Amino acid sequence: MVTEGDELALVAGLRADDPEALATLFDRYADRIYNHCFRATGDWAEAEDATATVFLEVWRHRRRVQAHDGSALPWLYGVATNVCRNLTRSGRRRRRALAALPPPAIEPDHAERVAERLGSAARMQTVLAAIRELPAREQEVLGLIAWSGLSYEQAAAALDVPVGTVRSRLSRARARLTTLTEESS
Amino acid sequence: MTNPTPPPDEPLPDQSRARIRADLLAAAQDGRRGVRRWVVPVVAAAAVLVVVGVAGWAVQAGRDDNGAPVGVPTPTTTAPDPAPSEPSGKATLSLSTCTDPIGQVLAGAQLAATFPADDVGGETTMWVAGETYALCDVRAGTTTVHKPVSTASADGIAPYQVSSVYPRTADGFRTVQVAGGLVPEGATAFDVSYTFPDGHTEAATTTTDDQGRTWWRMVYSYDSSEPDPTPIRVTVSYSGAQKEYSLKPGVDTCAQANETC
Repeated sequence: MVTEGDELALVAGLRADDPEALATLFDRYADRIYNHCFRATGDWAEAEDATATVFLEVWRHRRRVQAHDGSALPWLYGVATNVCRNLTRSGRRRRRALAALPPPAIEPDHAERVAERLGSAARMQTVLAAIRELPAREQEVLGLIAWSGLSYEQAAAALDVPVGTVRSRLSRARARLTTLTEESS
Repeated sequence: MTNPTPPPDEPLPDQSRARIRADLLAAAQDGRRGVRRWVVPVVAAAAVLVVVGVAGWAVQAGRDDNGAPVGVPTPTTTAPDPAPSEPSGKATLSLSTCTDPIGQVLAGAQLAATFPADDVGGETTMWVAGETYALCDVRAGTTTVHKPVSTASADGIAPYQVSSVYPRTADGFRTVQVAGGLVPEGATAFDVSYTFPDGHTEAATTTTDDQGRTWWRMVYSYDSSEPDPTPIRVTVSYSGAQKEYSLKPGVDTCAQANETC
């Protein structure tokens, strides 16, 4: 159980250049950031790279780390959202370049675990394709609130926008998704 | 599709976790030591600055009253003529900031008019490409380009929609709403005013470009970022006729073309 005091001490440790504070933050939130990045990219390997980048960025900007309602998590999600946004852009460029190459030969891999991960990645790609029609900022709000379970206030702190903006973006995202569903059916 | 569901969460694989953690700690330790490594180049740079400063002082001491180095004739020309229609320094900043986003929204657009910096700390420019124009507003580190509008008509709600940006303040956020457009050719006594949910009415100001076209712009700022469900009322009057429009919050208050609200 993480208490508010713990988290504030962690933030103070980061601001005081304590690498142990970074390690603790990583132990505490690596899984959540990893899954958030996976939901942004649809690729487990990219999510892994992104997770490492997020925590490196956290260290780089450690003097600016902020606690929201006693938690560093919203700020951490804000860093992750920025990292994944850039990664998604460069990923799109890379995919376009790769699309021009001949497809690689398929090598059979019988590991059940690998198959599961490929399956979940394919499923996530389908979900991402479904929401691709939404503006990027509405996708981000949807990802933070509907998928990562942040409150409106935490998402607002993560994105550094007013709570009202988060509410209206989410509401527009849901309305657009409804319209898209009607159009596709 | 209304509720697209991602696959369930998975833990970061142990091997990857250990590797990333070790890399992070190494980078963090290195970063801390790196602070001390900064000292050497910083001291060296400071030494160079001192030398340059002393040399500069020596040259300055040898200048004549006009500030030119001794032995160099003082130019007799007066200050250069200002560029005929170039905007001021601030407008130039706005120009360069707008060029890219305007190009993406309205290809080939040319600057038509500039509204100088307003009380709310922003600057607005109007851009035209053929029969279409778009507004670009620069304030609080945000460049907002409106959806392009036809120059042919001032009817309909499109020319009167406002963009909304939320600059951070010491206490939270504030709302700044901007609108602007082209006064119809031949219109007389043109006037646009916006009545906001707080009861305030803000009238547009106008400016005329090199081609004799008149442009209007409205800016209003208030200390809240919470959405108000009350519509904004727009009153447009010219050539003896008056029209009213009602801007729906979240729909007509998001005129941005380069960003979402």
